Amino acid sequence: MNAVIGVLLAILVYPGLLVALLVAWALSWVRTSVFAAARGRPVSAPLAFLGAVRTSFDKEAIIPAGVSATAISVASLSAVVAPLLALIFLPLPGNPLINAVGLQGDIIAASAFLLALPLARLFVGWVAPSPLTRLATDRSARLLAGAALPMALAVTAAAQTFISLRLDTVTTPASAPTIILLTRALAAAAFACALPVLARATTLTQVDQQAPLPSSELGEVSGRNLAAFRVGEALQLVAVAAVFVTIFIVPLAGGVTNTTARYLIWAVAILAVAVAVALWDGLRNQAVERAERPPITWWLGVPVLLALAALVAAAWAGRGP
Amino acid sequence: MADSENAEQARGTSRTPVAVFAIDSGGCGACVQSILALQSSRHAHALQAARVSFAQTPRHADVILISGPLTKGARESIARVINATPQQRALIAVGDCAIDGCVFANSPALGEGAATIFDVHVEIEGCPPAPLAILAAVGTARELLAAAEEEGVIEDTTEDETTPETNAQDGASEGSAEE
Repeated sequence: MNAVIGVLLAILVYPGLLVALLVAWALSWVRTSVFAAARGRPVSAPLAFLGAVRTSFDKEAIIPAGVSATAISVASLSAVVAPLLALIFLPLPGNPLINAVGLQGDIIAASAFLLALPLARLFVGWVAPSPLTRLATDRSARLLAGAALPMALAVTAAAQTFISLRLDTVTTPASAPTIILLTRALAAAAFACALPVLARATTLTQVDQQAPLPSSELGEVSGRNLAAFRVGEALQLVAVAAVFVTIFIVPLAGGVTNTTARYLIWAVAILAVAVAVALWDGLRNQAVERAERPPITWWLGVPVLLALAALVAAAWAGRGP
Repeated sequence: MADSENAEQARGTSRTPVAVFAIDSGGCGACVQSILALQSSRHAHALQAARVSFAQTPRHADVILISGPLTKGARESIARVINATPQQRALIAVGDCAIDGCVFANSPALGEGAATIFDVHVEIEGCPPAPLAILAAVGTARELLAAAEEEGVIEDTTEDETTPETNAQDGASEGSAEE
């Protein structure tokens, strides 16, 4: 394939803008529906997300006093671009960049892209001169810190079981030694604990009358900047699911050579990740709202332990006991 | 106006989602209770059907609900909240107090009502108005916002737009409120 055409196709059609936005819309609806069902609330209409984004986009973008409009714009733009880049550079099946420019992908780079949106959100929460958004930012920073460590360790452990960091070679036969499968399973479990934080969608509406204070770092963002963040969060869910499936799920189906079957595995796995994230959010928050939690919780410790166990297993797999 | 008519009016012809932010400038708190009742699980399906949600901050709101008699001291704070809401936005005066001060009208702490000072677009009479009457008014505001997208301005419709006569107090319950 011609390199220029391949790059354009990848950016504009698949897995770029067109397909990514369609999948982002579909997964966002799945996510909100599962979340609402888990909480016993009415399920929203499929087009509600699009309507909300369009409304936000049409409204005036108010910049808080003393804050640079450029800084907010750059942050909101990066919130859209980073997950989109993660998808474009991921060697998804049929990605034109694979044939056009020999895209190989990189496990570390793909994972690093996932941190951009949460960091952009922290940035806008901090630069806004509001104690409420800064409180929300503090909470989000702690969440991210708790997720980044097991995520990094899990990616490291998984990477040690592959012959290279290239994402197009992680698909190894399913007949890998048991210790390697154990390593990947432990690493996947650790990474899975970070999924809800990486794919978190900001709550913009009051979900609890008893907690009227803004619980979002986007409390001072409005207009097209807010619309960009909402689109970015929808894309982030797709990117997070795609990276997780690429690194941890697809290798399990290494023996499957049929192209259609591989597409199907991708689609089902990505959908399953979105549903799992929504279920986790919907069911977990009910318990959290009722109890005071210490700063270091069981849920922070377990993913780190899982990731450390994965690292030990990876060392075992590479060098023996 | 019956509940079903209020719910129908809330849905309106436009399907655009609307985010509402409520502010109160004092009073007895009955209107606030009506607004809180609208957020209860009883009206969750009506809100969902009308695509209405309550925003966490004015920045994310399309419609501002103003309730209570506007005291001189609260005027500036309420104005700041309104100014923090991006255009296009619609203002709704909730209850008699916000419209003309109601039983507090002669208080020296009050000036003109919120409906006059802030030139609201929709007024809801009642002391307090029923939750579904508020939802119906939000539907009216949504229509104004939709029209404003085409024409560029939101016209003040307090003269001819809905002023639901449902009154939770008079009707003993919101469910029995009628015209």
